[in-house]
Amino acid sequence: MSQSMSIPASQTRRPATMSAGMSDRWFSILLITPAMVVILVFALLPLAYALDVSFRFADLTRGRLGDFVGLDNYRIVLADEAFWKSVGVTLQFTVSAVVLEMVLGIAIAFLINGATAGKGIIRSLMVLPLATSAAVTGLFWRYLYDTQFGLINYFLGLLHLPQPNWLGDYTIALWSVVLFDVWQWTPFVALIALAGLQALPKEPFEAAELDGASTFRVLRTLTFPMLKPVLFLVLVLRTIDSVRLYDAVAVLTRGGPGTTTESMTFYLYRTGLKLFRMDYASTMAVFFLYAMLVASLFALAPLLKQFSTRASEG
Amino acid sequence: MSFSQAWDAGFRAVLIYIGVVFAWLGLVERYFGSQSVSVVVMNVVAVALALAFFLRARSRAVAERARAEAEVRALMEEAV
Amino acid sequence: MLQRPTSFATEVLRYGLIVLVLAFIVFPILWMVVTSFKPPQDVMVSPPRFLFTPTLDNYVHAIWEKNFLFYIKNTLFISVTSTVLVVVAGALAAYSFARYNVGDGHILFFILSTKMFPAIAVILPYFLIFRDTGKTAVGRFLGVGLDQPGALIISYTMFNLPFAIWLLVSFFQDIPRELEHSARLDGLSRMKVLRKVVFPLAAPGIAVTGVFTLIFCWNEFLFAYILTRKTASTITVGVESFFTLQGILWGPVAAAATISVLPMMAFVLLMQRYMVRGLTFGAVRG
Repeated sequence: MSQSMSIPASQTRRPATMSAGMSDRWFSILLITPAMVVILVFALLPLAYALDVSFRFADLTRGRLGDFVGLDNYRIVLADEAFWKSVGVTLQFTVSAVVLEMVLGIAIAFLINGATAGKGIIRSLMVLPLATSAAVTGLFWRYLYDTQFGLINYFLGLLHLPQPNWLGDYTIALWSVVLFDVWQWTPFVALIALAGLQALPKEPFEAAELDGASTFRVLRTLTFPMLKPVLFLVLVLRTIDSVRLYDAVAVLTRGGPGTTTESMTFYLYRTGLKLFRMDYASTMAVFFLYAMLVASLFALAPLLKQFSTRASEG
Repeated sequence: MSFSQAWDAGFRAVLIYIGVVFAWLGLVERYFGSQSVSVVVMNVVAVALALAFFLRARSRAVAERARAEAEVRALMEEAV
Repeated sequence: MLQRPTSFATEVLRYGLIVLVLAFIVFPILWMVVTSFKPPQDVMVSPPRFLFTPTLDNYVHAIWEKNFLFYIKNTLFISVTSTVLVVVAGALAAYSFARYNVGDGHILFFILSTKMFPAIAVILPYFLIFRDTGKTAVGRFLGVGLDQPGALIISYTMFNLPFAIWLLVSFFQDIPRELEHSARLDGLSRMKVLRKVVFPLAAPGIAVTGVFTLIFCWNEFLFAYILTRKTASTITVGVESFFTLQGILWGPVAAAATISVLPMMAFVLLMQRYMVRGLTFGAVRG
């Protein structure tokens, strides 16, 4: 790749004498201005607004924003069982979906990597779910899950297996959402793991082969350690995405039956825009933002930094 | 400590402060009789922890810089 | 390259498993397309029917009765406008980050952290703010308010900029700097270098970023669902309107879903080479 031709960042600081009219510094600031204005105004302003509301009484059914109530909203939300239950649902969904996607995705990547022919077609078919919107295909999955006309239960019936009520059963509904997510995102994991596998250098593996190392040993001591950065990146990206689960729940179950599939995002939405308790909803939003900020600071940022510096050094 | 390191450490210190506040409200406050006492103690604890984190980051940065400078000096002497 | 000798049996097993996986992945989409061509009386039957006379009734229903073209028109306008804004602002900023390293990485990571913003957390302030701006004369003139396209354009621009900047930085890093240096020495101004040398060289990367942004905007649901009611609704919300009192009209749903999904699939197939790179913000250069 052409990255090898790029020069390390330290050499870019050209002497100021070269610049006519404007210094590099001002030019570089000018370039980022439009993007920064958009981001600062439309990310930080709403954030400040949410913070403000989270310290007030704000029941929209009673008109406008009310008085400051200090930390009371935080106390109430932290003591709210439904809130913790929705956090539990989110965690359960995230752990099961991400684990399934990682395991299946990596297995599929190995499967495809070993294939001799047809890799192109296989990959083309694999990327298709990634092009679809969870809101649109998720809606159609309701038809697949249908107890009467659904294809899934039809096939299960042919195999004489039990035909569950996928979206209506209290114990199964969340798993149906997980299954849909697995369908949509396993290809994502597989695709990136496959790219990682194909980028591995050949020499260490040839040497191991000559030494007569067993396949398991090669996997454990060579393949996985070398794949680790890529796999960890996928893991973090998928986790952050799963925690934000909303679309699939909104079109598949709307939080039901009961509140068994009510994720944190869905509970927040219901509190704010159905019950119009903007104060509680904003407080949850602040909690959520805090969690994501910590996660991205400690997991994602160092990871991406590692990748991007490596790439720019070539 | 460079500006960029201070920025990083400061940001994390703020996150620690907020984290302590959240944990306090959820877990500790119920053991206090008076809410206002709890809020005061909470702020003291949170500020102390955030400050401790920041100071530790600062002393680390200073130590690292001193070490790097010592290394450079050693190299220079070798070269001479 | 060395390859372990593989027996015929393992090859059969391997391809058997691959076919199974692909069947699981492709089948829901395939069934959606098939259902969209079914005559109404064959959609809601048990057991499902695999043989039928194909018809366009569902498409006619989706387009005429449910006015699906209106949603497509909205989506197209909002997505394309957002994409143009994102690509222009994003390319300028990304170039600056890649070449001049403004802010020593801190600004770039601040931008990344806004990408981690859960959309749901800012949606309430957006809702309240747009509710107010929509009532002002300026807001109405610019279309910035609830159920107006401007609100969605702003949201989509904001939410895709971080991704676009990160991806574009990785593309700009791939361009050798020597060309810019020599162009500068030839006396071109910085803006001219950018326009005549850098952007043409980065065109593929910029195009890829644009298509990714377009797909994300096209498929977005949460903002569209909460910030619009009727006049500015996009397809993802439009499909929801197929819920009726008599139940969900699965035939027209399948037709509408097929119409909305197919163009994005075409894009994704065209960009296959860049999928991995795009999906990891440029970190993994597959």
